[in-house]
Amino acid sequence: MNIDFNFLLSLSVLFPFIVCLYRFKTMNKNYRPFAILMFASLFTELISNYLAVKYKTNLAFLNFFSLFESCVWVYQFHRWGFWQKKSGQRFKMLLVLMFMAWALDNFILSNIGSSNRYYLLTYYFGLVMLSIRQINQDMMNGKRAMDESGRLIICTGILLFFTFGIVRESFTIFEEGLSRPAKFKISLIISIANLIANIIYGFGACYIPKQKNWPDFFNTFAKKVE
Amino acid sequence: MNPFEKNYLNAVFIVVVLTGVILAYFIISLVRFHRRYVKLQKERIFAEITIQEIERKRIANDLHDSIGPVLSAVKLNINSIEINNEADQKIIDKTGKYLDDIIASMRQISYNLLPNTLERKGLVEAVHEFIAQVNSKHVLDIHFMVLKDSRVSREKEIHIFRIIQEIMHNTIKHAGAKKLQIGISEEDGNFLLLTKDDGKGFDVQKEKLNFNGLGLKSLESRSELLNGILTLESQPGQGTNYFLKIPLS
Repeated sequence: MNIDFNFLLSLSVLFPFIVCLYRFKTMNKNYRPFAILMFASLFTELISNYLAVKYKTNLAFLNFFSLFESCVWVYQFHRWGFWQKKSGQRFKMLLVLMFMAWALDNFILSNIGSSNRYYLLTYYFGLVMLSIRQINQDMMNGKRAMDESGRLIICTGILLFFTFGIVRESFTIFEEGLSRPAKFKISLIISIANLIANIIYGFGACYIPKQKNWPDFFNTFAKKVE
Repeated sequence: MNPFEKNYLNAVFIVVVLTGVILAYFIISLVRFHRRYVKLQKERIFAEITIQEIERKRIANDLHDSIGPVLSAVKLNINSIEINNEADQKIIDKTGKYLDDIIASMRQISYNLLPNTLERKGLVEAVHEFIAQVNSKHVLDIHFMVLKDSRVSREKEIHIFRIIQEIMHNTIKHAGAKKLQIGISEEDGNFLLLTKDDGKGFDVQKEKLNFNGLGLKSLESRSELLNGILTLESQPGQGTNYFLKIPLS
């Protein structure tokens, strides 16, 4: 019953999923990693719930997903032009570091079948920092109000979800001796944060700028030019 | 649940609520201040450009209506002087030529500040005139096409003209292009401007990040002022395309 309730809350990802699916072809290509992440999140929720019900554990699957998710988020920031200088180099370096941290947590500090909370804590923390800096960059250079800018809304969602993620993961370090109902209550933090973040992501997806389509006029003009 | 668990959950609850409140306050204040900032920035740009245009218009009118006729009168008076001495005649002729140069320069300055044609005949004619001027001075083949003449208001015309001027200026100064195509049209209640050159192109992202391009900033500011969308498409070695879409209503 408890798993079902968390699962239902996590299905709120359907909102950004539908918006991204509807707008995928027309959206600015620089936002596609976000859309792919929303698609992947829905499938992950379904698969991980299936695994949890059938095999009583989904941790190995979630550990692999956390690596994939973190890489796509970082790629999303890269596409947004986060690193202004030596962008490609910094992005690749970060990917290598992330993989090393993930491998360290999953194969040396603990095993792939248990929660990789140290990697999650580090990655959540890094992502919160990235989104704060991206918000600041957009505040400086943005010409649209923040509540009308897809990127700023998405960054707000990241900030909210992953800050609660940090809080939740910090508490899980000390939850070993807790009873099942108490653990469930703690897990609710992330489920509710997930619900709010998904709603924010959905609105963010609505404001993702369209791909720059040259109108018919351009085609007529281009033909004349050629 | 035992008392330890209860205390533990209370602690979790307090931390979560406090974090939530701080985050909510942070996000709400961020949104509100950013809105205000964007509005103020837009108003500031609008005021700056409007003042600049008013001042340009005033100086252009002063040059054209006050100094111009006076200089012409001076030239007429000088030419009407009867001189028998050949050396003096040469000086008078030279002075006449200088005056002609001054009048021509003054007209050019006045035109650069505000083309008369724009006020009298509208955007299309003004662009044609400007292209003729550029063609006479630079080796740039400019083609101007009007696919559909749209009725742009006088207030907007000056900004569109300045945008076209700036694009041509950029093409001459930086693009190293041989050919520049400019097209204007109207579609779904929007004024459309498209330019295409065969110059060396540039990395748009880099140029924007370098904060060097005053011309680009000016183009963006004027587009914003008109509630328009300016799209710049360029890659090294592949020329540059500008596309401007302005709502007419």
